[in-house]
Amino acid sequence: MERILSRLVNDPLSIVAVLFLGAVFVNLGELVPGLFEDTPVKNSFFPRYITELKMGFPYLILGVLVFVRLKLAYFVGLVICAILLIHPLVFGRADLVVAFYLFLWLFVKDKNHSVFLGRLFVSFIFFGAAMGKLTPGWWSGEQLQNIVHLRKISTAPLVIMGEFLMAVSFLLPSGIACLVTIIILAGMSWAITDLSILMLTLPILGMALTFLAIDSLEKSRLTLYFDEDKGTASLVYQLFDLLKIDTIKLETIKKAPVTDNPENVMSQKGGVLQAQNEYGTRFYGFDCWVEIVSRVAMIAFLSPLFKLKRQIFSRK
Amino acid sequence: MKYVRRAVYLGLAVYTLLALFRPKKMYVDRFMHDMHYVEWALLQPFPTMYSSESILESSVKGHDSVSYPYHHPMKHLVNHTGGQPSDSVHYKLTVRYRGSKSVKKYTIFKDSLFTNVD
Repeated sequence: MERILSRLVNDPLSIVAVLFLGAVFVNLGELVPGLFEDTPVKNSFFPRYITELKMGFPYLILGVLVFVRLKLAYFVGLVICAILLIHPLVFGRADLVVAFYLFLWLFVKDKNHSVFLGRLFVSFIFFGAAMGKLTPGWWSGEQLQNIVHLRKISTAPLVIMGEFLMAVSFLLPSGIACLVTIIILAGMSWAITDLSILMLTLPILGMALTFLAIDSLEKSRLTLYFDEDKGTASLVYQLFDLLKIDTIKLETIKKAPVTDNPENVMSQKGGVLQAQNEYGTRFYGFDCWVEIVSRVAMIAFLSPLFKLKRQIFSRK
Repeated sequence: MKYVRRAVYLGLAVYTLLALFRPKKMYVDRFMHDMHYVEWALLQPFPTMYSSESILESSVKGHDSVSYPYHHPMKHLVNHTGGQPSDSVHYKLTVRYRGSKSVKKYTIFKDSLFTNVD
């Protein structure tokens, strides 16, 4: 259990995996029962070898495959998504298109994670959506009336502009692109009052946060010094000891390098965390947390926010 | 894997070109199933599921015709299950995209979908 937890926390892909699993969970009530029970109307368009495939279990397996760090698992996931896209019971679902591109990215990415390709996929999904809406019916807002559970405040130009902004987001710096994605996805999730929108927005949000986490992840080693006599510090020590972060080494504060800087001594007396990176730079208090967050893969997407706060405070 | 990645980039470029220069194929024909299944299947990963302007009109003998807008009306026809009336139900499907418009007629009778039946 500890090993699984440690692997999850040390891998930025866990973010998208957890949020994709959330989307599968939302689908349990809507998509999955039909995949087990329904049969399509007999027709001459869909070949029998596709129609007769029962896709209930394969769909549920996607929620597991996304956690497995093997190319083969991603390939199987990609094949399942491709079959779902052309299956008579489920074709034409935008959330399955997103799942298809998620598994395609997981399959083709290299060890450096190919963040650019992933961001290109997200932009491409919105490019297709925006291109299709360049019609008089969409611009006038007439087509918006056809979307069920849509709040009345949503206007067609706003929707199309949002999708176009997402379509070019791969050209933006990663932090800004992630912020734009969060704002637009939050807008989409708010505009549609039905929870089913989460099937679409959660995996895209997961991808955006994962890209930012990969870009923000600090690879240099950090040594953390804890005051083992302090209750809170002791708890934090136990937590980090459990998570076994690859780039964080734990030490007691007695082993911290001696410093004659009075401010640092004050920090030591207050039982605040101390840290030192492999280049010898020392960190105290909030700066320690900035360094920690940038090394914990699963929350590294918060690192730009922590750094921004540090910059604002250092100016004051 | 390098070649797979190149193929993926090429695929994205092809889809983008199709969306820009063959919109009827991407936004009308595909939604009407007006092509061979294999060709249709290859176009499915293109993300435009909610973008065509589609109207589905249905009528049952002896009843008034009802029309309703759908993002993907063909899906409604293929997944039409349960509660079948004893009479056949006639559908007229219209898909518009910019200057392109297609109209097709379908009938559902005894859990089977027939195309172009008047």
